[in-house]
Amino acid sequence: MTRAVGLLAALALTAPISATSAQTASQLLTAGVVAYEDFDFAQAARLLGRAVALEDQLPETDLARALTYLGAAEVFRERSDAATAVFRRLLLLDPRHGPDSLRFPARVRRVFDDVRQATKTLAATLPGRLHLMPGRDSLRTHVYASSFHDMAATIEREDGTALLVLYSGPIRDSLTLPWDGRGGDGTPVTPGRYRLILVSQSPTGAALRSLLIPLEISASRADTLAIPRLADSLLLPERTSPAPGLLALASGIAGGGLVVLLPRMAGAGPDGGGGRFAVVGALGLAGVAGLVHHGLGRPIPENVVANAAVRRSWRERVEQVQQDNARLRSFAPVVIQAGAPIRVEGEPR
Amino acid sequence: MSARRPCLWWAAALAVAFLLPGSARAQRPLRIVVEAGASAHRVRSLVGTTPEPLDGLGMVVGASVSGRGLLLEARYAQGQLSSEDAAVEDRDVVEGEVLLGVSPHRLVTLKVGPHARAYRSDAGTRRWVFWEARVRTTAPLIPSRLDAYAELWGAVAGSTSLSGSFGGERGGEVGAAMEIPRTPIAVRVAYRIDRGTGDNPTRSDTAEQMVFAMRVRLR
Repeated sequence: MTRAVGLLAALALTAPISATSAQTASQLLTAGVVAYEDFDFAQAARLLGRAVALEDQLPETDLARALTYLGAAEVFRERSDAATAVFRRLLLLDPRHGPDSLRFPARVRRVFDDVRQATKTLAATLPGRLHLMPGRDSLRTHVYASSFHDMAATIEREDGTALLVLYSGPIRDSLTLPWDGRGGDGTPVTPGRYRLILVSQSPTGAALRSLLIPLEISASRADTLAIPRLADSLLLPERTSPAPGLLALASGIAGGGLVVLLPRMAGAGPDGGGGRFAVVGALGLAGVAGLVHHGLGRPIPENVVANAAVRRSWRERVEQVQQDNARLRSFAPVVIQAGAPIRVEGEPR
Repeated sequence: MSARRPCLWWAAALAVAFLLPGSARAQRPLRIVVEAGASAHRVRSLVGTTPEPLDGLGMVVGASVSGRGLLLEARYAQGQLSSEDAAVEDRDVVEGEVLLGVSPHRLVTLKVGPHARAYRSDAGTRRWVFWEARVRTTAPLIPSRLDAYAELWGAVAGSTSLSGSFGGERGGEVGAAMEIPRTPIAVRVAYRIDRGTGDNPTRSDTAEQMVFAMRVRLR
């Protein structure tokens, strides 16, 4: 019995330790905040430190919350270096985060403000995917600064050459940088891989740190107009039909043939008078005269003129549509897809 | 040959005329034409096994009235025939025809009517009377200027003064007519032939004509 009670007591003592080691980052954050609010700053720092160490398990807002409480706990533990490092990390995560005045005392906010003034970093938000008509629409990038400093915003091609310098100058709190999808020479951007590079600069112009945002730009199909077709139904016949002329010639020849055959048809046999061949010749000549009169398709001048006007009008419409299509293609929309930002220290690589 | 058959053909022609669409008939204005010209005759009379060749010149006159798809046409021709064969007797030829026609189409005319011919010589007069049904088609080679036409016919009844009764008759005419611009005058050249036979096939007359005539359109 004594041995059994001792075993249960041992289990009871070791259980909290096992449970703590199995806690998730989120549970550690909650426990750390509770410890902080209970003024157990050492426990809070320990729990929050472990939560931050598991940052992969935390969403950005929770990580920022953990860093804020951890920095505050370190302030109250009189560990200013640790507090500075934590707040600096918080600012690098996103300059918009920081201890609010309702939850954290002025002492904590003072330390944070000192760190913010000393830390020069940028964050940016932009649409993840955007259809943009170069020259007409714009991609608006909102840039946030930890504190006042100089910055430069550049769009680079994949090979590292600059497409456009969006901005170079000071930033106080935030800035909106519009880009209309054209390069520095005014031509629309061509599909490809680009990078939006935001560089925080020192007063001497040296690059302190850079934020690289990949931009995948692809072409979107332009809605062009169909080239008008010249319908045959719009055109008048430009030549008369050869049928009447051929029919006249055939009639003359057929009449002549009938004259030759008439004696047989009348039952007189082949013994017809030779004089009938004069009529055969006359009918043949009449057929030729009909052919000459009708011709094998004579031009119809008024129809030629009318058709020329129709064709001219059609060509003008085609040229107009081609011009419109060229204009539409030159302003063909592109699709801009922004990737996850990459933060690097110093110059962009 | 029954005497009633020509009457039946006349009745049939009139019936066809009245069956024509009114608009088709109404579109044809009244037209009156007279013509006169010269003709070259060539006749081969077969008497037994001996043909009698005869040639000669003559004249032809005619007139026609047409309108509303109907046609009335009359023609008269006469000539003097002679033969190089001294044994063949010279003779005169006189013929006339009166035809009533209908035009179911502006290029097609159906005609019926009597056609009589007489050869007169010192030995006597040989007569032929044919009750003919004809079909004529016109081909406008140059519209309102130059037409070619062909007319074929056959006798549905007839009589002859030859011994024995009438056997039959077939014939045709092919020609061309050219209107002289800005005048009501037209020139016509044609070849026609018909052959009448008695019930004895050794008795027949084949008459050919080359016609050159001038037409005047009175209306």
